[in-house]
Parts: sequence; structure tokens; C-alpha cells
Amino acid sequence: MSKSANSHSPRIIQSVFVLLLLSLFAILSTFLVTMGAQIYRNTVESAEDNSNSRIMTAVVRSAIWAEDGGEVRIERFEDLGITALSIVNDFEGEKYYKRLYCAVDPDPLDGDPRSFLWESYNSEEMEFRADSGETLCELNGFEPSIDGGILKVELESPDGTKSTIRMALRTGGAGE
Amino acid sequence: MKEGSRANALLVELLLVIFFFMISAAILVQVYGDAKLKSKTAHATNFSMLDAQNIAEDLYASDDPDAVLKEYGFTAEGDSMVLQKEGYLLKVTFREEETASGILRTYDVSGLEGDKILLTLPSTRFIPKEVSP
Repeated sequence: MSKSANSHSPRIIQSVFVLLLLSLFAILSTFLVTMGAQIYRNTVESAEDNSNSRIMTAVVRSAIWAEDGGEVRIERFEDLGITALSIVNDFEGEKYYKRLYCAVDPDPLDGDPRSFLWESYNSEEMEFRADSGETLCELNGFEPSIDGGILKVELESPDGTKSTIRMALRTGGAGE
Repeated sequence: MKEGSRANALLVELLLVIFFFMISAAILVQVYGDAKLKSKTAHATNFSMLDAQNIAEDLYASDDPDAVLKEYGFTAEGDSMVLQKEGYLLKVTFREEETASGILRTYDVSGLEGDKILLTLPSTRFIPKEVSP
């Protein structure tokens, strides 16, 4: 009886060792996959943050620089609930308004109403309507303000990333 | 005996698998580390660029650049002003060049990650000399 027990013990030890090795393999592979997934998620989130903030600021900066020759104003349309950044240019005695503002697209192509940054270009006589412009990019918040010669625009992307743009008004001056 | 050699073969096979797994894991951890570092650098470059643009615009518009930098929270360090942000450092250096018609003031706004310069954005302003009537 004891001889039989002695002959079985190395096999039991070997089996336990094999099981231990398998468990170690399973734990390490799970750890590696979890770590990889975590790093992948962080990298993608960081890249998304970067691209959102860069796209938002680049679109607004280039839209302002394209018309910076005019007078820059902040217009509040209380009835529409819109604060617009307006650049006023004078062509042959007639005033033209380029407006940048944030509003919900009432008739989006994909049928899902979302908030966008809009750009509209109207003459002085034309009444301003929120849907009279073109959508530039998806945006949740657009809050412009002017302090001296500096234009400050606070932006919020659809995922909640906030960015601030500060721009020196080069030629046209400012008004509120 | 035959059963024992089969068990040994399984053990050797398992050890070989774990050995190759360990090599792959070491390579993967290195790749993950590199990806994380590159992501951090990209994040620092992007946000330091956005900050540098804002600061350069403020310096361009202001008559008192030192006050602007102090308002942002910059502190003096040697000849330059520095501001530590999350993951990067902003540094502003100043140079002045006097010409016959006025003074050319340049502020270089740099973003740094450790000792590595990520970007430099100059903000230049020309101040003409007063012409006597």
C-alpha cells in the first residue's frame, strides 16, 4: 500500500506542476491582453481629444482669418438663442455680414439633429436665420467675446472637450 | 516508463510554449510602452501648440507683454519665462533688434517635453521710432 502511494506521488507532483504552469500561462496572457486593451483605449481617447481640439480651433481660426479685414462684432439674437461672431465688410456702400455661430441642424442628412458650427454670409437687408448658412463642423458650444483687441472664443466639442482660442484682431477693429 | 516519457514530453512542450510566450510578451510590452510614449508626445505637441498660438496672439496684441505672461502664470527662470502644464512646459524667450526705423521685438513661445523642444512659435512686433515733426 505504501509502495503504491510512493510510486504515485511523482506523477501527482508532475500533474500539479503542469497545472501550475498552465495557470501561470493563463494569468499572464489575460494580464497582457488587458494591459494592451487599456493602452489601446487610452491612445485612441488621446488621439480623439487631439484631433477634436485641433479641428475645432483650426476651422474657427481659418474662418476668422479669411475675413479679418472687416469689423468684428458679437451679435446676440435673443429670440433664436444664438450668440454670433460677426465680421462686417463694406462693399460699394453695402454692408455684408459673415456670421459664425453654433446651432442645431434642423434637417441633417442622416436624420439625427445635432449641434453644428455654422457660417453664413448675408447682406445687411437680409434677415438672419439660423439655417441660412452652411455647417462647418460638429460643435456643442461656441461662446465668443471681445476684450480690447483680443477676440476670445470658447469652444466645446461633441465629446465635451473644451478649447479656447485667443486671436489678435489685426485690421478691422472690434465692436460689441 | 512509456507513460512517464509522455508526461515529460508534455512538460517540455509546455515549457517551450511559455518560453515563446514570454519572448512575445516582452516584445509586446515594449511596443505598448512606445505607443504610450508617442501618444503622450502627440498630446503634449497638440496642446502646447494651441497654448502657444493663444500666447503668441496675446503677446502680439499687448503693450505690456510681461503682464500678459504673469497673467498666464509664467515665472521667471534665467532669461526666459516658463509655465509648467500637464505633460509639457511652455517657455517664452525674448529678443530685441534695433533698426534705423524702430525696434523689432520677438517673443519665441516654445513647447517642451522634458529637454525635447516640441515646437517654437515666434511672435514679432515692430515698434517704429517716433518721428520728430
